[in-house]
Amino acid sequence: MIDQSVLVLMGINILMGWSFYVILMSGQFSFGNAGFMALGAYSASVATVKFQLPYAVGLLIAAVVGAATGWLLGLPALRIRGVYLALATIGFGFLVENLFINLEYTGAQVGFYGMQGTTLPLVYGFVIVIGLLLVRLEHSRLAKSLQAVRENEVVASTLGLNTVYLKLLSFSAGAALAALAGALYAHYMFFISPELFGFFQSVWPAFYVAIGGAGTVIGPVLGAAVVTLLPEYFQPLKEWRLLVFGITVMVLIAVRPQGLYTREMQRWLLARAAGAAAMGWKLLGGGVAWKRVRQAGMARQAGEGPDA
Amino acid sequence: MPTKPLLRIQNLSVSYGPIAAIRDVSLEVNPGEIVAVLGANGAGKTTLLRTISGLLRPRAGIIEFDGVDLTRLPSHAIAARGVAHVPEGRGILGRMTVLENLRMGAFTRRDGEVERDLEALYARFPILAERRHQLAALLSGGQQQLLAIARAWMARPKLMLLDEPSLGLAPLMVAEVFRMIAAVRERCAVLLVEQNTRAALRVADRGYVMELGRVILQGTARELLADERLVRAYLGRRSRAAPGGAA
Amino acid sequence: MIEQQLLNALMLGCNYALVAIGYTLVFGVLNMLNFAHPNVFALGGFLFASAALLALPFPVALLGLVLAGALLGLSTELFCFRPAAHHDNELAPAISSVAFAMVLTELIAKVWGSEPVRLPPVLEAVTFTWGPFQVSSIQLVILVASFGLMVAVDFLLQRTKTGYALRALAERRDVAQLLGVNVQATVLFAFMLSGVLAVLAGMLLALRLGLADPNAGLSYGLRALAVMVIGGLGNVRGAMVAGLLVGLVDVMTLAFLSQAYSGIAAWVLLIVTLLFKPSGLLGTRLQRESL
Repeated sequence: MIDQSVLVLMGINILMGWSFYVILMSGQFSFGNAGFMALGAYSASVATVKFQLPYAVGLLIAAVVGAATGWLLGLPALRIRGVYLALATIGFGFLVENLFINLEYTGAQVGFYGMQGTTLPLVYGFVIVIGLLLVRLEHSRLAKSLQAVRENEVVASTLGLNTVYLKLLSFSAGAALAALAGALYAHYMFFISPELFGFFQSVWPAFYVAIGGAGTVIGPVLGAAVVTLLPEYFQPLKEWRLLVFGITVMVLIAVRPQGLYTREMQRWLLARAAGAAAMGWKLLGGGVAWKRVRQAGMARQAGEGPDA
Repeated sequence: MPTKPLLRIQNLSVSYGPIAAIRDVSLEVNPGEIVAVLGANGAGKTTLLRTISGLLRPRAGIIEFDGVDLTRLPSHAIAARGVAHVPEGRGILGRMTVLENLRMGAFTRRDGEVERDLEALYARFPILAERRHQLAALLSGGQQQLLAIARAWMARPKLMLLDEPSLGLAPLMVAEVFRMIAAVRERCAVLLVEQNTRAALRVADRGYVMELGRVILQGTARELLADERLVRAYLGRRSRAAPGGAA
Repeated sequence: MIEQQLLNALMLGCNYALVAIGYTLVFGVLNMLNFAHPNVFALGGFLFASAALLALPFPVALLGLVLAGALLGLSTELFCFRPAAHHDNELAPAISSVAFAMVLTELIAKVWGSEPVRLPPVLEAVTFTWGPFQVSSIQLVILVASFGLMVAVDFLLQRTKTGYALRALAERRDVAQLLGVNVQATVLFAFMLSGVLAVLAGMLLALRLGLADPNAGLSYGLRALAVMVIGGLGNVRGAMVAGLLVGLVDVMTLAFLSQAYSGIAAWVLLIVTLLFKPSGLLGTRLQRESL
């Protein structure tokens, strides 16, 4: 059976995956989400450990810090696109890591400890709530606006969309998610240090999205699940674990570059589901109608009802 | 004089996904000819050239060039066989110099006469010589068009495909460009796509008129210039252009 | 003292430049980032260390390194970038290359362990004096080799047919095709060349440090990404100039600030570049024409 810690980490990874996904929705690439994760982790940890604030407050602080820094970073990011933005966010990640390496207040390179409070239900509570929100978002006008910005920003703005606001919104929302994930992570691991939030940590969310599919909310979940659980199944391979894992990822992407779960698949599944539901409704409706006819028939026999 | 056509297109159909851009088009270009392809925007003219040069694949039909079926070849192989395509918008390599662009034109050549051709080009079109070490992006639109055609010429092609060379150019430049096209005929056949109907028909031998992906009219340049429908649609009602005369 | 720092800056700068050129070559032809590149760079150092420890004659070792670099570049193109080529997904090939980077890291750990590998003495330690500069034989070799490689790459790009093909392809893929450039072959060449440059740069780094370092790939190699942008995306000469600049600033920050701030120079310079001249030092304002 899978270890509980793996499931907790998977939940946190799902949140990180969504943090990348939400920013990607507006067409922006952010390879610096580990920076937001670190900011969230450290700010929440300082709140709970140094200021003895309740955990919930710590989580809130993390989210706010994430959203605020996301907004601030999102402002200059408005002017740069594509690769430039990707590299700038990588730079951001390194800068944040460097900040915490040098920050004595939070233990610098030695690290910071004392956090606790994250449980499996808490993590998945967040996952479910946020997941539902995102799913609800998927079919909303906001999602369509974001997609327009993603596909062609100039055209989107001529159509009257406030591209600045949309991009900033998506950036800060993604940052907030990452910060939240960071706070949850810190309070699960009891101990954090700057090296946990390095470049690779920023790339993982992109992994989840690339493997799982970039077009739907479920894609990153699938990707995070695959990436988190697969190495566990490779345990018997011991030191060859990561190597085989790397090769597996390469194969997955080579074979299905569009991701495991695409929008087309979702549409197909939903159509099937709708068909099945309609069928079921018919049967159900048929059953109710039959019951009513019988009742009416019996009522008539008893001398009551409309035809009486 | 029955000569084997250099380019023979038969029943060509090309689609962009579900949208048919070219429907059942047939045309020919003989060696030494200039053939014009005319029509309004969206008629499929650019698609036609892009299919010949291999940037697009047809859904059906034959494209036979010098005895070879082009539809099976990748673009670079088609270029190596002697088809030089000057795309819409000229396709200048702006970050390279004029000279580098010209040398790039001779990319597929294996003979040693590239320098000689360059000298001949400079003699004929001094503007290219003057600016040979300038970045191509710094040239004016008309100069870029001359460069693009010169670059195609450097390939010593058998067939040159020109996509709207006069687009966006001042009348003086247009004349210059068409003078170059006429000069090109000495070396190779030309398939010329143009919206500037008059200029095209004055330099061409034959022409095809396309509309919504089909060929609706064809004939010699003379015939087309005199054709009522064409005159009214593309040349304006009041035009009574005498073939070969000034407009 | 300052002379030694300048020499360090020069060597480091050349190293950055060589790695950045590799990134630039691939980005130029595909518009994508190859994240396996820094790990090929690290691997180069280890391959050289092994060759030195096995006391292989230098020409043999060099040939082996070049072949290894070409092979690694080829593998990256074949396994990471080609399969995902015709899908619109810009992310997939880059992520696949990250996975490949992981594989390479694990391979290094498997074969050489996770500790740096010391190089045996490969050159006689002779010191040359040139004015105020005291240059050791190793430093001289590194400088000559680095500059030689950069000159060679520049020559390749400016004066050979292949170089023309690379530049044309980087600018306009469709036009390059129409001019007769075999896109697939040229892309493959770009990858192989960048692999060779990475491996050789790794060798030169190992020479300078006296050891092959598993973390070198990540730290220096990723910073070379910043160098690429600072010099101008797709601009090889820009990568050279930017490499030297970043090398200089890197060494200066190390000398005047603490160790803890090392390496951050590249990223700060990147952000400065993006704010003031996003097209890069030598980049021009020419936009990519749309197809």
